[in-house]
Amino acid sequence: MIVPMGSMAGMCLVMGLVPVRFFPVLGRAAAAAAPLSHMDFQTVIENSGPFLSNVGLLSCIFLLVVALLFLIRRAVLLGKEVAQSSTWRCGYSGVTPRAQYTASSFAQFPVFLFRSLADRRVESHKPKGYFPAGARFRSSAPDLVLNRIVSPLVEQSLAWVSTLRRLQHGKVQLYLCYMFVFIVALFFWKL
Amino acid sequence: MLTTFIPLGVTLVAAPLLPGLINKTKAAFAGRQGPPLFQLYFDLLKLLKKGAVYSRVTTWIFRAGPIVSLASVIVAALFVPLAGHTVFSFSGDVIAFAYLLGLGRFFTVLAALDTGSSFEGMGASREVTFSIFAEPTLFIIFVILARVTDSLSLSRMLTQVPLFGMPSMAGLLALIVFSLFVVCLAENSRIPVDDPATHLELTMIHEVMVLDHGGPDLAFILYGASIKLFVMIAILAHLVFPMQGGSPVQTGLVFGSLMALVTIVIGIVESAMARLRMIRVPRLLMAACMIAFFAMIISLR
Amino acid sequence: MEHFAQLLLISVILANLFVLGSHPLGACIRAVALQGIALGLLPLCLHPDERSIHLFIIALGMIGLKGCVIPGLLFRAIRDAAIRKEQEPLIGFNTGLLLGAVLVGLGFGIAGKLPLPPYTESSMVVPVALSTVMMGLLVIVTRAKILSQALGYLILENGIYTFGLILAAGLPGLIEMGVLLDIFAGVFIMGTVIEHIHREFGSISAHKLVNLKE
Repeated sequence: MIVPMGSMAGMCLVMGLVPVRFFPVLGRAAAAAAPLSHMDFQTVIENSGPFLSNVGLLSCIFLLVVALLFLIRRAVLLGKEVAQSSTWRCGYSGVTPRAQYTASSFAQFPVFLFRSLADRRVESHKPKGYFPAGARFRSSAPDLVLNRIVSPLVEQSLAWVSTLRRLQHGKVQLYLCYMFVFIVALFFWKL
Repeated sequence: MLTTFIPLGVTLVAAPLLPGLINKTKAAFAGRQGPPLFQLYFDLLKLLKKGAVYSRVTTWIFRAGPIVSLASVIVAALFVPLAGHTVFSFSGDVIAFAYLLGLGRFFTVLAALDTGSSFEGMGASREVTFSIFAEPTLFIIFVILARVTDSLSLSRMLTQVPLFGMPSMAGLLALIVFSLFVVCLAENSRIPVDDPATHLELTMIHEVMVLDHGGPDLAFILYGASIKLFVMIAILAHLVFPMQGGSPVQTGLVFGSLMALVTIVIGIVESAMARLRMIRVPRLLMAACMIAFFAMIISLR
Repeated sequence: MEHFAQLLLISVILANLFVLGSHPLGACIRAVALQGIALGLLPLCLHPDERSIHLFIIALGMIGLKGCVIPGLLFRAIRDAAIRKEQEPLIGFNTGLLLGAVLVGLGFGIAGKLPLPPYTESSMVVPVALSTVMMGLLVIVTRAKILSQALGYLILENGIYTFGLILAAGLPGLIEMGVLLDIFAGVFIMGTVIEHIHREFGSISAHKLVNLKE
């Protein structure tokens, strides 16, 4: 699994570093759909040469600078001690690091700012008293588009369509009757 | 050939001066002497001499964060003109500039989330939320400049047309400079968006994201932040830079003093205002965004 | 001079956007006063060939009225009714700002489609006038306090006055008197009404007026 994924990642990297070589290939593939759009693919591919080589040059420069800084840091840290320790905790340190900060905490500030657009449901029982029994907190931001627009539409259409299910009753004579009715209708249409 | 790299050299050498100038301005307002002008250079040297401590929870992302953020800012500095001269420019590099800054921010946020600490995660969340408002403003300003100067290259946008001299652009320029100033304050974590001198984690935004870095990593991060400040002030100074041609020394001096002036203005704003409440900061950024949008509508006529 | 006119029109729109954000009432009244001063200076910049003593006196009168007298009356109304300084908007700061920006865009878009006299095509007067009228209406619709609604009414009148500037190239006086009479009547009536309502109900929030149904 690593080899195919790695080779595809490598191809992406190479395409980012030297886009000039790959753009004509993409252009030929896109030109197959050219009749559907009004773009002049030939001139676009020809004119994109300098721009793409600049973008490729930029990516190469960036990777070079990253490598340079990495080597500088390694050289600077050569004689020094590089230790490992735990993350400094302040607050609730009783859980594993994975539970310290979750995705919903990360999204809490923007969801609060756009709260009229995001439907955040919070269900919380705060600890009460001096020796509280337990507390619960649960927040969810259900998908607005799915719940308010797509689901009602789909359910409505399913309700209408299910009325057509009555035609699927399993009685063979009525199926033969349908065939007869449609063939007669076709006769009348053709005539 | 080597002379084309002079702007980059000036950026790399002179960038740590600007935070020192801001601190000196703030100290002057408070009646103190303040730290020396070259304090950031001494800090960087001191940090480079130290060792490093990494948390057991972190992965290669934590070690790559400072490197990628510094590299992205250095490569972005290639596109920014200094007194009219750029190192590297091509049509469309304004998008590369914005995306490089975004890449640096992305890796800083990832490195902060990698530590598994809730404070850094909180800082990362706030940073990303503020960039929801700041980045569209930056893009709208670039769209306005592209439309007015009819070019998509950052250096040509800023140096082709001296907007400062044209009276018909006065209103537009005032609006653009205001929004860009607010974006500059937001991106470089200055008051009123963020307090660079606070010691309370609950109120930090940028500082808490780099809380766990130390030694050379912290040196890279501080240096990168000063280069980012230098680059954004250079863009701001170019908008009000009146000179077209002239000897490099002359234009360099004028431009340098203009940049120092903008830095002092930032210091004055920092001394005169307090940091806004966290809920109010999106309002300030939204106001800057709407003013930039309004300027774009005016420029479309 | 035309660039100075552009600056004045930009400050008109900025004052509108300021009022749409939820700032305290005093600051909003000052913003509308500044808007009035800018609009008072506008005729001098828009019609540089018809400058005369008459125009100067009218401009001075407008500045005095829109910049000093009417805001002064509103401040006195605040003091007499002893109300709090918050605005009680029905929409938040960000939504207000967004709607304001949309209305500015709408104003510019509509003005581009209207068949206007040729000498106004290049200046921003018509779009700014349209946007100001729409934003005045927005302020009236989204505020619960009657004083804030009076402010919205003033912004609306400012917008209509800006419209009049295009047409009244030679006769600013006539249109002026009509508009100003309107404003005076409105503010005086509003002032009296506010005092009466405050006396009867003890507050001037529009929500309380529901009791009149019974």
